Amino acid sequence: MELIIDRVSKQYKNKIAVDRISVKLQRGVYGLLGTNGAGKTTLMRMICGILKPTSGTISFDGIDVSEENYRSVLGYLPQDFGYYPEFTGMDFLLYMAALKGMGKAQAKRKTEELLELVSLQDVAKKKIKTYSGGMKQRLGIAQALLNQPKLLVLDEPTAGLDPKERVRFRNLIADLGKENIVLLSTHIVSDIEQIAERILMMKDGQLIYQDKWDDSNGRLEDFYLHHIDEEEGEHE
Amino acid sequence: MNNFRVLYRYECKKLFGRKIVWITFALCIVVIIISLCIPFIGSYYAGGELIDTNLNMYQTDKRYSEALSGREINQELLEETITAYRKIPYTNELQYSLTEQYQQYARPYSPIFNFIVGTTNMQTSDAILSWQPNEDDLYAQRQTWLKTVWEDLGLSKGEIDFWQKRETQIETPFVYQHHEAYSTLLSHYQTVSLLVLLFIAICLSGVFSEEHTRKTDQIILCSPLGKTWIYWAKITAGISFAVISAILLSLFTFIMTICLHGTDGFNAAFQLLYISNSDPVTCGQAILIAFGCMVFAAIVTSIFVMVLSELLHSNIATLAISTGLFIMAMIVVVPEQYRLLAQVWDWLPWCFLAPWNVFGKYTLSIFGHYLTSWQAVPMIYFVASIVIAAIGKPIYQRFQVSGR
Repeated sequence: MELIIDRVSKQYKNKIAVDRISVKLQRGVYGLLGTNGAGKTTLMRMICGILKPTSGTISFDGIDVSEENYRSVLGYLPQDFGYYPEFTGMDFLLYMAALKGMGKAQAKRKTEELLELVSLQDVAKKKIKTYSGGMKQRLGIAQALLNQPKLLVLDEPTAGLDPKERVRFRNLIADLGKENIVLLSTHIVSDIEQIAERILMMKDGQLIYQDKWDDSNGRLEDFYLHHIDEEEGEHE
Repeated sequence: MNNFRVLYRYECKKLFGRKIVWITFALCIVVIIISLCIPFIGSYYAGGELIDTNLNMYQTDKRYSEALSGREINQELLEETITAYRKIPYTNELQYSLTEQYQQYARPYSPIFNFIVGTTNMQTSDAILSWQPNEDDLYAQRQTWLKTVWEDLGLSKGEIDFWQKRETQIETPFVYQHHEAYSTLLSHYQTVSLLVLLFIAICLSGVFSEEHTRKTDQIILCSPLGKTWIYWAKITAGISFAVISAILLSLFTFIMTICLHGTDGFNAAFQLLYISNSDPVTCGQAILIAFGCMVFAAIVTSIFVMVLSELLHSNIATLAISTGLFIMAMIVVVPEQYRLLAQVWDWLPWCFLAPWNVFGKYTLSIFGHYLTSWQAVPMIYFVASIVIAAIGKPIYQRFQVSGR
């Protein structure tokens, strides 16, 4: 199981959002760190096939990102995405399951299982417009997990979750990372520190760090802040 | 394919679940009720004097019209009509329809008189004073007038021959039948059609664009079926919505009209309703043809609006362009001397849905066979629907999520 990102760049008119990133991801949890505008979301969108790189290739086990088979193994939770207010939580997941090509029976079984996993089983038949921000986020997490993805991309997954839910979610991610590739981005360094085995740090569209992080390296937060400070210094 | 059905069901749910759909639908129903009931409301005044209530006037005319039902418009009826109208003392001071003689003798024959005037294009008083009622002359005058119309429209010899051949299939003398329901349906056809198209534009302008504004496009497009089947599920749901809307609003108009005017006249010659028409059809068939064309126009409009919404990524812009086209259709008239341009313009969905276009004289020639507007246009719309939908697919698939 291998996700290969090979010299991927994304350029908008006069701005390079992602600059020649090459990385190979294998089973495990990867934490993507970077300030706003570092290119995290752009990179994640390219990995999910919803944004075409200006150059470079992305493939999962030899399957190109543009192929339907690639999307079959993908689970994606965008940073900021909408819902259908008139749908119930159950409807939303069944709709997403259909989009992911799942059969009716499998979709129903998996939907019920995931609603329970994200503690939404009691409100499954209520309309999403009545959900709180945290509940919506949990529903988003559930939809990303519907097809048991081998490649799970989570953009700011812990945003809006309360501390208890965050702990539960961290454990869930850790479990998923044993068998799959999980790439998650967050601003909360402690989340990354506790879940991610490997750190990918981005700055100005480039990958400035990619390796395991252990205590011998010092505190991740200090390292991260040091780079942010450097960046702010440069901007000043 | 099973998933297509599930996706289709959810796309329908998204569409029908929107409040704006039901609010707009209710508004359309109110507009139809008002436009159908308005002729019965109020009173008829002439020279500042109350003559009668509109309802009484309608009931009186209906009685007279029903009394004439089943009679051939032949020499005998023409003579009776003209004799009755000659009893009216025509003066400049008094409107002829307000005279006692008109009410007593002529009014019972007014449907036949209107048919004569419509066929011969004579002015009212001239018709009475100079025209000698003659059945053969009346139908011959109609033929002469039709030839002038065809020539003025710039029809080719082949087309004129085609229409002349169709004229021979029309049985004369016409048998008069009370046909108020079909007359009402035809006169409200353009209003109902415009309502249907506007309703479709309002409700479908967000089918694709709302996925972008709501940011649900990200999870759809990264799903295995998110770039293929979902597009067709949305298009199919939109088409279903358009067809259901057109049928429901038409049915409501039919039911209201039948409740108000009855069903008499289904088998009456369409020429009683539309004198210059040369289609050998009955009033009932003509109405079904017209409303059938509306369904096809609804389909092509729905696809056009949906693809436009994907292209523009904005409900407002889509609605503005669609409404602009509908308004332009009402304002712009392409002169008949630019035959091809006039025909193309008249056959555009937002222009076509008017009786004079559906039952217009322009034809489409295919391998020497001529098709009338109502035969050709639905086929053109069918092909156009497939082409527009096919054009929309790559536009949808190429969308890139960026800049949020």
